[in-house]
Amino acid sequence: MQLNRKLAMAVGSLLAVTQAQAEEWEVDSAVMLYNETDSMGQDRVSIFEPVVSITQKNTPDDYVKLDFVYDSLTGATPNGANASSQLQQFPKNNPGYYVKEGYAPLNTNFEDTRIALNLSTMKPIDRMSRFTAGASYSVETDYESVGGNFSYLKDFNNKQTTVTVGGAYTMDWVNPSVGFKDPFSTLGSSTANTTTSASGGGEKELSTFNFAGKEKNTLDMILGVSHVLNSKTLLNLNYGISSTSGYMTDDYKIISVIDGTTGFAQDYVAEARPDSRFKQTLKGTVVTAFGADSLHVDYRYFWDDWDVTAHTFDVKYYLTVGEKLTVRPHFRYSAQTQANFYRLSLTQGEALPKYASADYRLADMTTLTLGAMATYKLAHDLSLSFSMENITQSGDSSPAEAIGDQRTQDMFPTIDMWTYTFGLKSKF
Amino acid sequence: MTEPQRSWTITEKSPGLWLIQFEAMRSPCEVWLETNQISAEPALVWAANEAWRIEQKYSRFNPDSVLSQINQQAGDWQTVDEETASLLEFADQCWQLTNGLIDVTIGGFLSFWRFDGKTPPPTRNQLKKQAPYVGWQKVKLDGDKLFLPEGMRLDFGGIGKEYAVDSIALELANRFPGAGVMVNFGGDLMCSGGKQDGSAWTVAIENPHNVQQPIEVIELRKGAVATSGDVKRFAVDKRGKVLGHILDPKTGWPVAKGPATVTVMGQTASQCGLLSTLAMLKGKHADEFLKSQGVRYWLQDHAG
Amino acid sequence: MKALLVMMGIITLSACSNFTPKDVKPWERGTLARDNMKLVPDEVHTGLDEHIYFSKEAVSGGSGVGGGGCGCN
Repeated sequence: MQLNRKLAMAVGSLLAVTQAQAEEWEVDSAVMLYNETDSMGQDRVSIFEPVVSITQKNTPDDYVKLDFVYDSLTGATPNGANASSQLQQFPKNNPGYYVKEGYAPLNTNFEDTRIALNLSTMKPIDRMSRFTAGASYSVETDYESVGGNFSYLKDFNNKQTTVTVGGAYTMDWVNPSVGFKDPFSTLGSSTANTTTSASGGGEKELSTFNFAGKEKNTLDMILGVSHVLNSKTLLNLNYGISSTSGYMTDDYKIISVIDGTTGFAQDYVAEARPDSRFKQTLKGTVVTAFGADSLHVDYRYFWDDWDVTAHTFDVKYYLTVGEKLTVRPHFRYSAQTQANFYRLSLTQGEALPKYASADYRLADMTTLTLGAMATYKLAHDLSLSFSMENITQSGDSSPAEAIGDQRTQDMFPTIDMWTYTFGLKSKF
Repeated sequence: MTEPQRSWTITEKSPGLWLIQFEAMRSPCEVWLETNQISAEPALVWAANEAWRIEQKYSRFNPDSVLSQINQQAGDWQTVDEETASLLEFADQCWQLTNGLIDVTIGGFLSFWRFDGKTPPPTRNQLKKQAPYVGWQKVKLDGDKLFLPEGMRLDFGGIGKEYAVDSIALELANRFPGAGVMVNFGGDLMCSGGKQDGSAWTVAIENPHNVQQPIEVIELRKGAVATSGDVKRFAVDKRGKVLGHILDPKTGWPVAKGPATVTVMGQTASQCGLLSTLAMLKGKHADEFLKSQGVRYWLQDHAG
Repeated sequence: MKALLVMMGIITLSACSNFTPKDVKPWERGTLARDNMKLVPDEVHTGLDEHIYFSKEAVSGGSGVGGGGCGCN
């Protein structure tokens, strides 16, 4: 590079720190369509999710951003019970819905809408440090969340290294439309909903925003180091902890209670989860340039006191095709081990565990993502993007603990998800 | 040291085209602003005050300036303010990029020189004794912490004026988006946005030997011009030879056989100023150097 | 899958110079300032992805603080 060009960049960095650049508004928006099918051919949930993010930016270190997310979810979701070679009815003695033999039981009338707002800002403190602060709010028919976060970033070593320390506190309230269940209470039993709180429960309709529900608090902390390895490569390492206490049971999920010999469900009962969880993550990211392209590789190790551990790899390659088009293939692979209270089912006559859940998301499982995105620059301040991804989740279809009839059924139907996202990004 | 002048004149040259004129950094200064906003006048006064602020802050003649205080604290670690820290970081980058040709510790040599056309230059021996107190590599800089070894002196002469031009021009362009802005401090200038009638700013590349007849008149819409070498500021040696005021930081002596003036056109006054100073320091290789940088430039040799 | 890993291995090997530590001066950071060199170049798309994984897996976190809760998990 000519000396002239290098001097120009040095001048640029001098004037940028003393001079705010022209203020700029950035609007980044997208609409995602999502649908999900299981390997038995059953359609599950579909999601329509528009997102708008508006940023008022003075410099990369000085901005205010507002994110708005609308999330509409409809369809069927697994209720937690196992597939069976017999027709199943839920609840068992007062059927509300039936599930055909050989199919994973789904709760078909699942519907939820979520609105989330997130306000965040970054401001410089001095030329070697800055902070971010944010507030978030989200509401669903059965859930509400309020959170705040703060982080401090400090540069060292001529800005070649940046250390981030951050924390967030989130308060969530859950008020399931089916009411709160006593742990392991029979599905459809009249004891349901008796634990609703102070506001007197029964009178208020379940669909209203009634957040006298149960609370859950989460404290997150993160320590990160970002380092410019050389002129082409950036490394980032984060260590994070997340401590949650409060109500984490999913009252929409049930567990099959099976006969110890035949494996047929005799009863369906409510699940029960611990009221605390401590999660830790270690994540490393490498971003490196190949000519005009760039390669992003992430690895995350996750572990918690529910004994869930997970390895997640994520690879993205930004391929520059000409001046206007970028194509970005995406590969992600994640493998998790099950939570210590995960049960395929409970067995009649056996002592009840303290906690149990048959939620497949807490089982041994792998998630594989293959996708691609194309971004086309219509003008220097306007770009369009389209992304299509396929996500496959699979687990153990014939686990060793399956008994009798369970052995004849698929205990973990593979889930196939597709997402289609249209994006529009512009600057003013 | 006389009190610097603090007066200015503001004129509306044509409807919406404002001009402020004042003296700063030993140069006649002009700032043009073309806008219909009524805040044009206060903005121009701000520009003049900003120029004086930067001049005062980094003056090596004013004993109370931030620069003088830094020089007085040589020998100890000191904490500098944010603006100074970014200028020092910039100085560090310039020094590295130019293999030491641009060096703000040149202050150690400069104190021996008076470029008034009559005071004799220092002796080679004096300069030799001073050499240990010059050299940016001896300075330690870590963010806003600075260690200047005892006896060393910083001088921002090579970067201060251009920095003032650029930062004032950028700030005005920020405050008046789309307006025409031209900041010209004694020939070091930056403009952003042409005039509203669509025409560009006219810049005359001065002929040092004949002010009435410019070498060339160029049109500029966005960009900068800076000139190094000043036929008004020089020293004369025993044999009557004229010595320019741009010193080689390695010897403390002006580079021989260089051009009289070098003018460079580019994006910022800082960049142009650095290139023109470097060209002067390249002596007889000035032309060759500028050619390799892919910029427009004008060279004037000494008369005769 | 295997082929992909092998391919990645080849990319990694052929790019040794990409991983040699070096002091990086501001004027050498032109490449790093590119959009596709940000830690997260397409935030909105990545945010949507992360939300799916959050609601479909038992694991989450690692990228920073911020965002809000969700009843989806």
